[in-house]
Amino acid sequence: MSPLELLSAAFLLAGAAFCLAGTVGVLRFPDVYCRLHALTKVDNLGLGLVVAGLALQSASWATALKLFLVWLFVLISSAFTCQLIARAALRRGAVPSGGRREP
Amino acid sequence: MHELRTGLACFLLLNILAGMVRVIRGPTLTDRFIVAQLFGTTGVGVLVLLAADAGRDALRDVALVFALLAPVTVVAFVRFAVGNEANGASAASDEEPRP
Amino acid sequence: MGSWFRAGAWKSAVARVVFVSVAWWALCDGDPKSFTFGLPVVLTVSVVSFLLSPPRGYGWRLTEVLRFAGFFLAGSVHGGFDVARRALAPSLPISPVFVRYRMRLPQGAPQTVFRITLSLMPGTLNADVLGDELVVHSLVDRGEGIHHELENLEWRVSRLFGLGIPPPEPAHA
Repeated sequence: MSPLELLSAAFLLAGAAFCLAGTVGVLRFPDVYCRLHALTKVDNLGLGLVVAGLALQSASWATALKLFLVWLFVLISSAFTCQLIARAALRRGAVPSGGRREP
Repeated sequence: MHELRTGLACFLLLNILAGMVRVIRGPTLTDRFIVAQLFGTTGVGVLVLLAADAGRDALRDVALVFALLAPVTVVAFVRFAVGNEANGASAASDEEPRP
Repeated sequence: MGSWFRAGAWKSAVARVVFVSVAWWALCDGDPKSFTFGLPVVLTVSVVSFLLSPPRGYGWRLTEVLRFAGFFLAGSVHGGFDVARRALAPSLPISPVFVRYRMRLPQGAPQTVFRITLSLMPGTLNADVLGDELVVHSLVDRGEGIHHELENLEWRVSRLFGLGIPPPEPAHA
């Protein structure tokens, strides 16, 4: 394997590890708000690393950029949608764990 | 490299399967719904991994469509969920501050 | 052109056309033949973007955009690491808390950019907006630290838009 392939494989493995951590977070965190943290931050980083690994293998610059665009769309949309979901949960009265609730 | 990518795609599919536990356990509707978000992000990961094989470039476009459609499901869910509050408030009350 | 088409609008027009062209080029996997169809698409999309969201005259500077992109990338990587570590640690070291934060940024694009980025920064998530006040969920209760971090992020966003919001007081920790 060439150094570039090794680097690419490392990115892919790290990305998959973060996706696993994201899933573990969704399963282990105590309430819906904490689970959203796992979804928006960990999964997006995992996808970003997978995309970076694949971009290193891609045949052309255009394809690499397309992969990056896919990631950018996921990133922006999940940053927006996690707010919508959190707000919906608050208004539906989902009880946050930990008890403290200032608003 | 092909084996690694395919293996990781299977691993991500297993992640999605594990997410089903949260769908079953809930407890709230929102908890169940956020797993759809997990499916979206992880599904895009699976698709771009598979698209790297020769002749499967079209899967990258499928991933793009997945990424673009994911927020639509969320907006639909939020309209549905907030519009069905126990007190019978309509979806329009979305914009009003909480009591 | 109408009076809204100021000098700054030209810069914005060029930036949008370049962005849409590059996006089209990437979507078509760099096939040069695609531009016979792509040229009208690029022009139409650019015009529509102007109609839907006319330039508002923020002083975007490329150096500031790159600086902010670097800060954002570092922050979201840090955020991902932080939450992943907490999810995997056997003791589950989290202490979730809601805090309120009054935004000093003006409404519109600056507030939107602030809310999006804060959701990807370590530990914080925007949960609700009540006028200029944000309800922020934090995975870890760090007391004043959360407030200080939000002020710092707000200051960085204001610099991105060329707005004058004072930087946060130096950390007392």
